[in-house]
Amino acid sequence: MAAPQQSTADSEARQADAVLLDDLRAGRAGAYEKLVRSYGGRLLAVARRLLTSEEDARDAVQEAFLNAFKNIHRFEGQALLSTWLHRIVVNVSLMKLRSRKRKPEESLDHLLPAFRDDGHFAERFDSGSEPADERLAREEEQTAVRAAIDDLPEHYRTILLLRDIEGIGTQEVAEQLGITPNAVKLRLHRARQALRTLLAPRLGRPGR
Amino acid sequence: MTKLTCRACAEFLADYLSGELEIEVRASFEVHLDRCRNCRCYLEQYAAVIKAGQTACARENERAAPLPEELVRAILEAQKLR
Repeated sequence: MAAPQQSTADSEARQADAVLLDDLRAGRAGAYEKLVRSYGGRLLAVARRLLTSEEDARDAVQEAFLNAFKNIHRFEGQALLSTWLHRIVVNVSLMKLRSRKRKPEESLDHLLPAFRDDGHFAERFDSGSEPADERLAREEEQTAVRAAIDDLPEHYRTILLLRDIEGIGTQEVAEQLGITPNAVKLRLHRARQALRTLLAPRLGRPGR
Repeated sequence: MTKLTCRACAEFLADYLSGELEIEVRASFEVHLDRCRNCRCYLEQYAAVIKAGQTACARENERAAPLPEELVRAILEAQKLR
């Protein structure tokens, strides 16, 4: 019965948004502070993932809120405030990433699967007794999963985060990063393969 | 129907999971998957790490500490100066 619960939560969030939006647009005391305190922690988590530098992440959150305050009258309420703010902090973080000195692309080849001449995998994978998704969803595996994402080379980590975690579409990621949609898809696939290799020891299966 | 190798199947994983494989390629992919335990296992693990990343980051968001007080103050002060 997840859907009705989700629907109720969504409805409650929209009602809370409507009240806060009224206060923000009317310039009522404390409205900006409430917005910052309500959503700031999550936005900082998103910025930290994308930028890895604490200083840059804090700058991104500040800039995101200032953008949001400036454009609050344009927010039409079709999305949740949290969704709107999330997109703003992702965009600001991407601008910061683009402004950084471009690093040479690190190779990921050592984390990709190897194949024999006949096209078969060089390695045998073991499905084990517990489904891989259930095993990795365990509380004690969360730190390892996050660390593995952080271990990916930046060019790949950014695309994995944008596509799989932050839910940005292929076309938009391509436009934001100035690369082709096919390059986005290829890097995403490589990043997922590399993540699988990094997490293979957690699955009780041979790594590479 | 084209006979696929494990190498070809591995390249199609992302498009298979997102439902973007052309019908004929998908049919060949599924025939290979049906016969190849190693590819089924690789697909399971590939899909699992996507889900694991999403779960870990969603938990990170849910458990995010409140914004540091000095940053809250800095944002509100910067807004006042605008």
